[in-house]
Order: sequence, then structure tokens, then C-alpha cells
Amino acid sequence: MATEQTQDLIIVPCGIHGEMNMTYRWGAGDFLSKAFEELRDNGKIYANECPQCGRYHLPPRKVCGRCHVEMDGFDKWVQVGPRGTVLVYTVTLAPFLDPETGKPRHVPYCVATIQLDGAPCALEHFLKETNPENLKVGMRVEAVLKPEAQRKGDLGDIIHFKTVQE
Amino acid sequence: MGRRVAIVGIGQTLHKKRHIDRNHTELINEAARKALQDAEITIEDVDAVLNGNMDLFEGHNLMDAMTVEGSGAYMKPGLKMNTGGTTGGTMVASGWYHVASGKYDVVLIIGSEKLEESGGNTTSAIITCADPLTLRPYHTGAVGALAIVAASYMNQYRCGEEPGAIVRVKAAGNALKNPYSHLKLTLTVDDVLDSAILIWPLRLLHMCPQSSGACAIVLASEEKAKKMTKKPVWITDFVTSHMEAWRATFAPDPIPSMQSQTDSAIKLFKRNGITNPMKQVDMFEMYDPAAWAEIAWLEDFLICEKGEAWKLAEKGVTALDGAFPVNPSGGVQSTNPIGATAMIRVAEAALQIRGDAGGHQVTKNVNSALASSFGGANWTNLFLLKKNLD
Repeated sequence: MATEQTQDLIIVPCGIHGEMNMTYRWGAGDFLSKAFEELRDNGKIYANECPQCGRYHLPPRKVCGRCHVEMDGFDKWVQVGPRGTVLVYTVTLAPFLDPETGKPRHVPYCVATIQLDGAPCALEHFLKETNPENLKVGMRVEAVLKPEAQRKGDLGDIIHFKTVQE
Repeated sequence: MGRRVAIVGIGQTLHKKRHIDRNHTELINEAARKALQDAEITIEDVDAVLNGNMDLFEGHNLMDAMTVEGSGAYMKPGLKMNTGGTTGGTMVASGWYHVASGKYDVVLIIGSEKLEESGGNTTSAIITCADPLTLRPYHTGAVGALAIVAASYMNQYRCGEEPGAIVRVKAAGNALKNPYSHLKLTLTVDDVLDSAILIWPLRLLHMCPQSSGACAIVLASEEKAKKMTKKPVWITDFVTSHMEAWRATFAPDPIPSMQSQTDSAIKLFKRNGITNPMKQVDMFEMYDPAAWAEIAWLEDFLICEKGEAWKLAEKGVTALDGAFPVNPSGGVQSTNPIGATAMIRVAEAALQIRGDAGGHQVTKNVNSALASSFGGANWTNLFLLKKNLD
């Protein structure tokens, strides 16, 4: 790359263009692993409750951030969803980068905080609907999962939440 | 509580889109030099030098080691800090620890960012602050998080889009009077409401810019401060609070309030006998990365009742000549060199207390001020500064 000359001052560019492998391997730990396995293998979404303060965590965590106590194991978890209620949503129109690919994400897309049926807890995820005229707080939605053979064991096994009429 | 600590010197560079005439080391040097001049001391009088910067943006590392000739840290102790948006506030806190402990008498703290060198990828870097297993795929950096703040507030209080625009116009007007601010925009409410939507309901003109600039502060012990200046500004108290990064996944409030901001306010106000902050404190330099954040977070910080903050700018309460000015500098909405941003809040609050803010000096007499820091992933510094020792 050539240096740029601006008003007699030099700016030295540095960039890595073309193919570059930036790979990371994030450990989920035993609680998140169990939650992701249940989603992948059985299509089930779970939350867990802090035995001290009663807050629900979705997906389940091993430690409550507020109380710093260890949470109960799988036999105490509560199945939630697949239906839920939209608490708040945003609609992205600017093509920001997709942190999973490093490429601009197709717009528009809708991110919502969804309270899932079964326990007082919420998940952030995509909505299928992106037309503002069809979006409203309080709307009922349902998780749409990838076909079983394509699931990988992460929250992306839920493609998005689609609108349902009740 | 430790020794008492005062702000005795303040320096800022101009904050702007590009500083092509100086490199990062030289940018830091300008702010450091100005702060030393303001304190009427030289680097010889400084016991320790602390740097703050978000390395990920410029793609370098150990910037404190790279920039020693600019900072003046040669053969002096110090630390480099990066705590996200709160970096500048963390540095004020850390500078306070250094002096209050009795280990050092005079400490120079410098926050800087040269976002022009980041290739415009600030949001891409910020996205990596979200937990990769549970949140990152659904996050769009600070813009996405602040859009949720705006949407939640508007849903809850049915106040429409206008309050966010009124706050942005106020910030722009203040920034025009501040010689150091980055964006110098003459804005109307319609300009804001007509600007492009980034993430509904957040528009381009609601969001803070990407700036390059530096800020430096000299902190001194009580004994030194009283000898050095007639106008010390005392760091009366401060609180730092953390919270989980994944707040949205818990049973949420109607508005996803920043619990760390509320927690900071509860502790700070209780310790300092503040029961009515708008009456007992004179003003607030808040870390306001978007117009709607100023509204929602005045409530998080318990400055006013829930559902009342959206009316304050329209009534003029938070204006330069108002009863409780908020962000007289033009705030983060106008200027955002991220590693310096939170320190600028403290610096600007201190300038107001000294009466040295210049064109954007507030009308009322300022004896005390709040200054806050916000940043990923969800933590807060809240400072109480005063003209006089209690």
C-alpha cells in the first residue's frame, strides 16, 4: 500500500486485506453446554432460577451475578417458550458488520427482547418481521428453529421469532 | 477515606474528526502540556503518569510505552487503563487512589483516542464487548444498545420522537459555544427528526460522533493543591459500580435501566446527604452517548422522577441558563474521543466550578457538580466535585 500525502504530511496505512483467519474457541462451560445441547438435540429452551434472589436466567447460568451463589443443576431448570411476548424491539437500517462473519449484515433486521412463556425472563434475538407497520410491543411471537440436522448447539439454532396470532 | 484530592490542572486538545498534523504521541503531549501549564508546574513536579486509551480502535498495544515522550512518563511510575467508555473516569478514580493513598502527591492522568486511525470501524470493535456465546450475534455495538434505551423509553412514556430531538438541539447549541467540541452544528428539531435512521428509533443525529482528541488532568494532595492554585476543585466522592453484561436476559423492567447508574447514585447521594440532587447539586456533566441516553439516564441517576426527564429540556431546566444544567459542554453527543470522553466530563465539570468554562459557562453559580462515565459492558463511575472542602 502506498502512503498518502496530505498537506505535506504522511499517513501510513496498515490493513490486512483479502482472506484472513481470525478464529477463536469460546468455552461454554457445563451449564451453557447443557442448555445448548437441549436446544440442538431436543429443540427445548431452558431457564434457571437463582435459589437466593429468585431471578431467572436465560440461557441458564451457573452463578447468579447479583447474589454470587451457585445455581441448581438441570433437574431444577424450567422449560420456557417457544412462544413469548415482545418487550422492546429495534429495526436496524444501517449495514453494520455482522460480528460472526466480519461482513456487513443484510438490512433491515429486527432485534427484540422477548419474554418467553413459562418464567419471568427474556431473551434477545431476531424477529422475522421487519416492517414497522406490523411490529408492536406486546406482540406474540414463536421461536423458529433450524432443521434438526443443521443445528450446531448455540443460540443461532433459533433462526428468529415469527409472529403468531392467538 | 484517604487523603483529600483536588483537580489542579486541566488541558484538552481540540477534538475533531482528524488530527493529521500530529501523531498519537504528539496529541497526548499537547493535552499533557496544557494541563501542566494550567497547574503552573512542569513535568519535574509530577510523581506518576497514567494513560487511558482503547487500544483496539487504533490497532496498537501498550500505548503507554509507545508514547512516553509525549506523556512525560520517562522514569516515572504509571499504569495504562482501558475500561471501555468509562476509561477516562477509571483514570480519575485511579489517579485519586494514587494520591489519596499517600503514595504520590501529584499525578498526571491523560486520556486519548485517535479514532481517525480506526478505519471507521468503531462499532465493529465495540461489538466485541458483548458476550460471544449469548449476546454478540444480536448486538450492534453501542448503537444497538442505545436504540433499545430509546425505544424502551418511548414505549413506556408515549412521549413521541420530539424530546430526543430537543435534547440533541440543546447539545448542539452548547457545543457551538465550546471551543474544544468536535461537532459544530446549527441544528433544528426538524433536522434531527429528518436525519437517517441507523437503528430505529435512533437516528444519525442522535448518536455521538467518532472524534480524535486528548484530555489531561493534574491531581494533587490537599497540602500540595493549596500551595499550587487558588482554584482547586475537590473530588469530594465517587462511586464505581459494575453489573452483568447480559442484563437484557433477566426479567426486565419496562425500561432496561442501567442498574449500575442507579446503584452509583444511591450510594453517592446517601454518603453525601443528598436527598434532592437537582436542588443540592448545581449541574451534571453526564456521559451521554446518544440524545435519548441523556433523557433515560437522568432518571437512572435519580435526578428526577420516572417519566419526567423527557420534559426537562423543553422546559429549559437543563439549559446553560437553567436551574440544573446538563452537559453544558455539548456532551458526548458532540465530542467523543473515547479514551478521553469520560475524563472530559470530569474536566468540564471542574472548569464550570472554577468559572473557567468560557463561552459555555453556565449562568448559575456552580459550587458542586456531578460527572459520570458509561461504557461497555455496563458499568458506571459517578463523581461529585465541589468548590470547597466540606
